[in-house]
Amino acid sequence: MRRTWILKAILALYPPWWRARYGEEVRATCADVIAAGRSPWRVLGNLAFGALRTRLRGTNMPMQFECWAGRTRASIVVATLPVLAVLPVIFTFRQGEWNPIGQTGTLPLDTFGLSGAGRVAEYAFAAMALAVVLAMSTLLWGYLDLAGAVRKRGHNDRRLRRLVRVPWLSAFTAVALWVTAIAVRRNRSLGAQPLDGHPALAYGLVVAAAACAGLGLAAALISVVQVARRARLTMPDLTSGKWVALTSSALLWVVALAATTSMVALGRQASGSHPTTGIVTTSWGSWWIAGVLFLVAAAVVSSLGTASASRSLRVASQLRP
Amino acid sequence: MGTKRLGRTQDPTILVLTSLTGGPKHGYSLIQDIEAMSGVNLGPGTLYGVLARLEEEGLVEALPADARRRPYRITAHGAAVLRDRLETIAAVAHLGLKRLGVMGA
Repeated sequence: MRRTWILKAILALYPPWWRARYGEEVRATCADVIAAGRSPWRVLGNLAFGALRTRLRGTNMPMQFECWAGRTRASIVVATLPVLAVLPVIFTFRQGEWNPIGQTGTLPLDTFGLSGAGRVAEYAFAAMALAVVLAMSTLLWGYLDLAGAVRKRGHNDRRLRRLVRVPWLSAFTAVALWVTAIAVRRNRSLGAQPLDGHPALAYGLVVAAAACAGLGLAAALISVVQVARRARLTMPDLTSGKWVALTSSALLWVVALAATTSMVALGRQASGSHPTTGIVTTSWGSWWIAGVLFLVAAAVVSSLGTASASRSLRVASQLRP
Repeated sequence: MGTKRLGRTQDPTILVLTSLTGGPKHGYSLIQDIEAMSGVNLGPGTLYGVLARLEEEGLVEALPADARRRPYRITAHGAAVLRDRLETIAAVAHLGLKRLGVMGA
């Protein structure tokens, strides 16, 4: 019973056209192979790898516009989502051992007695941060474009058209709650005692704003997946999505290369602390290596998604919608 | 290089095509025949990945389904391609065995 459920779940990883064509016979073959005594987990594992291969290669996919457009949409999602995945790593770098030099505030780097390597590390880190901001902006622009495209096309169902609005509504609500929190927290007192304002209410509003922001992010992820699965987009919409994917993967490579440069350069900066501020100027950590490897992996996944999107779009453009 | 690594280099495409030269077979028959023929245990995920690719290239074709099982057969083009590949493999095998001294000059 449990195995049947897992088999169904693994078959759901295959594309719909593949399940329609091979699903029934694969189920029969799996049942025969397991009945003959082969390890069911090995069979299921093999099937799961097969799903990954099929998704990557798209072998024997019907030459129909909707199939190739669907593959393009899914590839664009694969190419762009790594941008979100790298964010926690970047924040961890900034707050943890990655940023031993960067606590300079408004002081010029010269006052910290950084070596050439230390400066390279700092500038590479700044380049990485800039690339992340650009990648996030690209993602935001892509989502705006996508949501607009889904809303404009009347043949997309109403639920999908509503779903793409939820992240914006959540974002606006979060901002409104946050601004209200600032207003109600107001405290004109000169001492520690609050003379006016409502700190507890302000805290509650900030929590509600954070919840709204979280809901918005979750809704954005769900709507992107739903759009990849069932939205009907035109060729110009898909082409625009491909450019978003291409820009995202290029920026992810910049992030990965800048992080690697910063890591290597920082390793060459002599350790020590600033004489007056006591800020430590260097610190090595094994976490850096894991973090940089993760960034490179994200860039590779994004590039594979972009390559797949370009190829699928080329095929789709030759087929009649 | 270990013998296990050598064993993994057996191409499932050749194995499936060779198995189909014995007549049309469905998925499970193919797995059984390939295991008996070469000792290779193909999983269903690998087998249907290969069948999809061969079908796309026109080397095999699906026959009408019998209940839940659909038999496949090799096409004329598939037989020609397989023959080419097997001749190359046979030439390499012959040369290798000759150099090892297993076969006479």
